[in-house]
Amino acid sequence: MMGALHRDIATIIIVGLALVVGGLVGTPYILGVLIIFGMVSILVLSYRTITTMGGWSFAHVAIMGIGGYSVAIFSKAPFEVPVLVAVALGGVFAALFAAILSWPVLRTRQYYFFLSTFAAGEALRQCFIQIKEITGGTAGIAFIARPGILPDPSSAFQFLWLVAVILVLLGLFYAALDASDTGKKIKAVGEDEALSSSLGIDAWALRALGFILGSFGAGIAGGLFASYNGIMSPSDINAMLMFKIVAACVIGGTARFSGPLLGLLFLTLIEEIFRFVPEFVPMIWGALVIAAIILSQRAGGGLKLRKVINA
Amino acid sequence: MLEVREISRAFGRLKAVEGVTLSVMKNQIRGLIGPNGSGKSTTMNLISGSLKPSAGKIELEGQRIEGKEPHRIARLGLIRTFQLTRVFTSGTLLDAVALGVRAASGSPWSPARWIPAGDQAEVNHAALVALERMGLAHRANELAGSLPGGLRRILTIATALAAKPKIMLLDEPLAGLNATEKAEVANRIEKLRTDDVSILLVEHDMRSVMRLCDRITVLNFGQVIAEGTPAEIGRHPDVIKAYLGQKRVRDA
Repeated sequence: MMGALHRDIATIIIVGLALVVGGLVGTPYILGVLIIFGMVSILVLSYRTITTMGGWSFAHVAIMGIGGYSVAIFSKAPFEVPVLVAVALGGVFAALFAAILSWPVLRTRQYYFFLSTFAAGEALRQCFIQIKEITGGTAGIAFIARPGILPDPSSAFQFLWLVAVILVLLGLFYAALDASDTGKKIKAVGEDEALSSSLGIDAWALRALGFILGSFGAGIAGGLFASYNGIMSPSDINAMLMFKIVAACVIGGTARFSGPLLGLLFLTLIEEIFRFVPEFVPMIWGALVIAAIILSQRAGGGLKLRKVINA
Repeated sequence: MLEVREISRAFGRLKAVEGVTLSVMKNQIRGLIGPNGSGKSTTMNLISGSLKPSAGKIELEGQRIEGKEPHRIARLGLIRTFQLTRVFTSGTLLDAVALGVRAASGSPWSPARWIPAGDQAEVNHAALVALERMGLAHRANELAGSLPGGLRRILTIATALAAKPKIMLLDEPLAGLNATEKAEVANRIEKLRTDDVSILLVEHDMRSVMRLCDRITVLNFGQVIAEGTPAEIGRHPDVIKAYLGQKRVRDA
């Protein structure tokens, strides 16, 4: 058991170091790819935590939007909160929203959970569009600052540093959770809810907790995205990003901590290899996801692919 | 230990359970039998909290438990097993039983419980003790998913045992097992009693029920039609008529 934790800690530190080293030697283009990779890594790691409780949410990117808008709103007048503090606030708001949302959506399971979170995510996106006075409607909010804590806020490399540090910190948190008493119970509930409650595990609390702690990471990632892009608009909450997260978890498998990261690495490589024909990338991703699902069924493990990919 | 008084539950017009009363004394094995559809499973679900009774009361060591959530009832010391074998199959036998050990520990909302607490050795030890009591300790490090049916059934009982029950509700623990496996599981159940665990046993295998139980309650059409020792139940005319049909229990 401790072996798994040590391996997960090593994984996340290696990913963080690789990002920084890659940024050091890479071209500006590669720098951009690495920053996106780091931020999406936060999304897939937090998403995996949600899947361990047994539900595949489709609201993750919309909840990420809460983090994005938090930074967009609170870093500006009249609040003028430091950007990093606003990012943290975004994580807290995302977690709070998940706590409220868990009351209705955790009543559903499996396909129904997928559908109800899809509906909740879409409703949230519509709110971002409709509440124009606060969110700027479809145009969104522009001129969002980079964190002032960086010596040179305009430097992409320094931003990459920041993303790597936050990724490692959050990764350590999720790895520790995974190996903890609570994390084990969350996974037990994900595996068999009725059995878990029959033994005295408060299944509802643990499913809610998995959803809330996972959504916290989504909020943080959203805040970083908004600060990096300098703009936050409803178009940032798109199905393609949601699909990328789910695909990374399907292809890499969620049984292990490192699975979704490997899945994301794989998807990113495909994206970059086929950069000259970007219109084909979604199709290739889709084919890979279907192939991964068929293979995992053959391996007899539902959506657990560790035998196939990261054995 | 467990007192069930006049509990009822209807599904639409169907009265699945009507005014059922039964009790389980300390260190007793109480059998609950009846033909298919007689309300045994509903009764189990009402006691364990999966269903809420529409009337009646249930007391566990003097404390009212009817209508409470399943995990709360479990934490008070009443642990059930399921008719369809349910075990955690993602890890080893030890991992599966360790979840039973962990089940009743602290609130998940405390951030102190979101990091590994270094209690793994302690938990594993408790899990190993439970496995040992069910005779599975030598296979502790095998994968739970690769265990054959009969042993898997014993593993469910070991997992339940790890959650420190005062009373266990066993729902057809012998169903679908071959004769050797049945004898093995029955022996393990009998041993539980000597370890201070009371048992409410729903079972179709009459030979085992007659052998294991101190007292038996018989249900038919959701109502108790007989209660008594195995010998009395074997002689009871209503039981023979309603449930046992031509099977000659007298010889059992």
